Amino acid sequence: MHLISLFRLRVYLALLLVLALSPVPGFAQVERIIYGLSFEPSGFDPHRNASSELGIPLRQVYDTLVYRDPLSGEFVPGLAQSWEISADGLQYTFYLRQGVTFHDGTVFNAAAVAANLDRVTSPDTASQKAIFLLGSFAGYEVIDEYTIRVLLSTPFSALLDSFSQVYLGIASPTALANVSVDRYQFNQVGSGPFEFVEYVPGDRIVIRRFPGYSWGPQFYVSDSSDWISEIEFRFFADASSRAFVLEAGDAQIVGELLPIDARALISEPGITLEQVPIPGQPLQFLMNTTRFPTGSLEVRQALLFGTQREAIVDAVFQRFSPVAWGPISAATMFYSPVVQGSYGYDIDQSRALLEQAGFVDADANGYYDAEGGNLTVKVIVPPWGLIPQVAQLMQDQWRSIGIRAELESVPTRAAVFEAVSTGDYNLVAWYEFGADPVFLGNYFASTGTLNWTGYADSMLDSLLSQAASTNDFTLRAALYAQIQQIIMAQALVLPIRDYVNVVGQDSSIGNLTFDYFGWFPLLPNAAFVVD
Amino acid sequence: MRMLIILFTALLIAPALAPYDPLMTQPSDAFQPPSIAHPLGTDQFGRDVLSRTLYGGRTTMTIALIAAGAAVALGGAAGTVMGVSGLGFGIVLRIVNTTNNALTTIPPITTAITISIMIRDNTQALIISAILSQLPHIIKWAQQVSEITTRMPHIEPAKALGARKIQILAQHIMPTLYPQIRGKMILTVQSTILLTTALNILGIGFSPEIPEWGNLLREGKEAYRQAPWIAAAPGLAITIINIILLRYADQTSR
Amino acid sequence: MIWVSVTISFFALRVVPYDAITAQLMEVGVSSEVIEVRRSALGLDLPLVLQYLHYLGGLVQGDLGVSLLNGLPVAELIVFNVYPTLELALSSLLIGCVLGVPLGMWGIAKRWDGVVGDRRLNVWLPYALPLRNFVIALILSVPGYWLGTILIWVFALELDWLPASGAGGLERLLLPAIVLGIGVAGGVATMSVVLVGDVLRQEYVRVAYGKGLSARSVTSKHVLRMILPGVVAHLNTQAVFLLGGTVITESVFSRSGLGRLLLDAAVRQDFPVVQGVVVWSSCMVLLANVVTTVMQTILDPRIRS
Repeated sequence: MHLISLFRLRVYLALLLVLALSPVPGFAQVERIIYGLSFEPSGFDPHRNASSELGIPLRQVYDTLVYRDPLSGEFVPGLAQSWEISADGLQYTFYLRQGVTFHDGTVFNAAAVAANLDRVTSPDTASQKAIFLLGSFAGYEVIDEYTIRVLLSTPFSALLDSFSQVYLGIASPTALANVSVDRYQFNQVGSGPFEFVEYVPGDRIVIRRFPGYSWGPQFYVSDSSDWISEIEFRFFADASSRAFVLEAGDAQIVGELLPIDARALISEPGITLEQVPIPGQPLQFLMNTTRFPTGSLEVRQALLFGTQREAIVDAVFQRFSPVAWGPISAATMFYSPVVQGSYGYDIDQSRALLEQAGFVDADANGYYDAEGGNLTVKVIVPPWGLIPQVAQLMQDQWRSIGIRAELESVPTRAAVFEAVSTGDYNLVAWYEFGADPVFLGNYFASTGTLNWTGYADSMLDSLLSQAASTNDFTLRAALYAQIQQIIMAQALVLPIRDYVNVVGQDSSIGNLTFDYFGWFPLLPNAAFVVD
Repeated sequence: MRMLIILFTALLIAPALAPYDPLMTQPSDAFQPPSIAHPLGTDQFGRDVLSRTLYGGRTTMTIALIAAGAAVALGGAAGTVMGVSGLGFGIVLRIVNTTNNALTTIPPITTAITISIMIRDNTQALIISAILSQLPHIIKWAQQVSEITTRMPHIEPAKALGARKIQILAQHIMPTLYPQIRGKMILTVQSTILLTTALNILGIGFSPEIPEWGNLLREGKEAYRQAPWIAAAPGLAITIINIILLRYADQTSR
Repeated sequence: MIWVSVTISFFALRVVPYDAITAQLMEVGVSSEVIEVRRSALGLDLPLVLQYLHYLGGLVQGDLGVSLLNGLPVAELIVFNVYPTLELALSSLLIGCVLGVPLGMWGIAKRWDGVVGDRRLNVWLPYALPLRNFVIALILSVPGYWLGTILIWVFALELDWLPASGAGGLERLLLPAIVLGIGVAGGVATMSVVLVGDVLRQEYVRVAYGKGLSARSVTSKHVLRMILPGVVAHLNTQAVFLLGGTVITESVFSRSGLGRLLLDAAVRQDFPVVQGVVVWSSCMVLLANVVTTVMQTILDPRIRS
């Protein structure tokens, strides 16, 4: 907890320092800025679609019942002024803020929240993410005009975290009723600091500052004369084009710069880089415990010892990301520093473990022998997140520990599922983001739907389910610490780097900060830097 | 032909000339500009660009030869049968013909993207998509060419003399068609190079660690700012090979 | 015709084991029972033949189905993305003709002047044709995506004259249109060379020269008019490749358009969208056939009379 806030605080202080020291060239101030997104999400309906990219514009359009403080991660009031959780963890009572209106003039109240819950859970909405954020949702009770109680069938400790996410942003019930589910993405109405203007598929999404906004969370700056009044979001799917776009002034803010471009832009006058740690899983390779040779603990540990993560972080990520040590990144809630530094690069240790496991190199070709030739691991390599580059370096590094890596590159997410479903793999690169590590249950519980390590241990199962159902903060911290320790002791994952989003921005824009989830900028706070 | 054989052989044995292992990384040597040690410089991981280009040529050419060979053999045979018979073999051929004509309205790259995403094995996906996406166009071409051939003056007398279709095909039509098919083969090799490297540029082709010209071009594009030489080598190589192929195709069709 | 390409692409696309919605939900960690419910809501659990008949039924009413991920009609997505692609295709066609036809005719006039006896030109004569042939071979051989990155580097980054990416406005269209147009020009030039050769063998051209008309006027008056129908016919055969070229060019220049739509949909396995783009390109190629016939009637006096 303290570590997280300290880490974040440091990052922000460093950024402030950079901002303060960087010279402000005489950029002409534009009222409307262009924000480059990394791709066009498959849809822009927060209740229906799942992409994190959609939240970048829509976080500004919607308020949520609660917010997480961007530095500490603590829950702070949003549209709910306060809340109570029943002792059994099955009832969440939200006391709503009064005097809030949606951008279309509709009054916000308990009925509005109810309408949103109805929409998210309706089969017609076919929600791809929001509905699953509600966990064991079993209904709600409207207690009075400004009180609503959400009911669960089993305790679900991540519910408040869910209600702080843009996917459960509260939309105007009038707007929801006026258009069909499919058309809503073109006619969105929230109660946030910006109002939705238009969405043109393939081209842009535009938002405009909402003048009467006064009910934001405590960390929203309440007033500034240099506010950005309009923001147009455009899509730059080709990663290498993003730096060009920024330099040419075609966009004022661009996310997910390629590390080598970011390295080159660091000295560019008029451009400032933000390094935003994203909580969730680090870039990691899940190791299959049910297949030779990663079925053996020694081999998994040998792979960990034999991977020089610092070199990968240097070469591929240009030192913009910290080395990852465990199954969740350091910016994540309940990250345990216990795993830090485990399995540091050590070829001798790695070879010793392999020899201990009985491998020999009888033909002296540099690789240990296995049935049918060399000791080989098969790695599934999806194309995103610079995983291919990481895999190439790992393949080269593993030569020195006598293990041959066979890289199978797959073109799509679906192809990863297909490859995994055959069971014919030793390592597979996969990660997801989230502030609350409740997602670990999907990966490491024996019945988890994404249990690609094949590891099954009743002790780990019970720790995971306990951690996902208690609301006792200290207890959760202790449980997740233990979970992280077990995962690393069993060497179930090979973590590479904590995810850091390198955002480039025109230096004429100041105070660009991000929320606790990392992906989403707090654009109401951003303002033009005044000379 | 001799010149082409020399060219292909050179590309296939070129890796022997590579000064370094194309996969060996040396992060401390990243982005070195061309020098005596690395005549074409190094890439992001300190790999030798010359070696990677030489190995890349072999990969690209092997795929192109296999795919173009298969496509021209299959398409040429099917198209010739359709052209020579004048679609006289009844309903089956007519259906094939209509289907094929319909397929020629789909751009090859569209077909290739779709196919390579359906097949998980990269090399297979690349070869199959390169074959299938170009096949309809080759069939249509062969059909038209052979149809024209059947109407040539030296064929008519043979028909009049009552020679059997097979006989006409073997004795008169095939010899006339042969140089054209050879020219088409060379052009198809060229278009296959462009197609497969394009797929790799779009990031849906080979495993990225395999040195291949399209992959190298993509890496080069990502590192343009730091190292413009990375993309220069494979880009120039593709251009030069294409010029040679075109020139040769030109000669054969004359 | 379109029915055949629809049928083949429909079944080919559904051979893949995972569809967009399954992949999306698996990613969130949802159980397979829930996924089944969602698939059946989209009608994806029906027998393929039934799905196919539904699709055909919609198609005759102009309904291309809906995206599996955002529920939007595919036809609407295509309309949103069609403009930048058409703009690119048509402008590169124009550039291709403007560059390609003169390139193909280059050197022809000089040959005649040479015969007439201009010494100055006689010096050039041996080089003109080989040089032209080399230029044609060069522009046919340069991979468009490589040329694109070079142009981006030179004009957008080093010289800072033109924007590197995006769609909208002439300045964003220029570089991609040149890249794609140069590819078109190569084919047009090759075709023009052949056509010009045929025309020059015609008797009346010799007569025109014999009457003492200058080479330039013969070239523009007679030859150009005679080869245009052939050039148009050639462009018709290239329409399908031009559409393919937009996919790559759009990617290199980060332009929005149908190429981007196709790539995104293919990677996400959103089949109705992929299918829609396929149907669209088939329609465009057939439309090109019609336009060609009309243009040839206008251009070719023999057909007109």
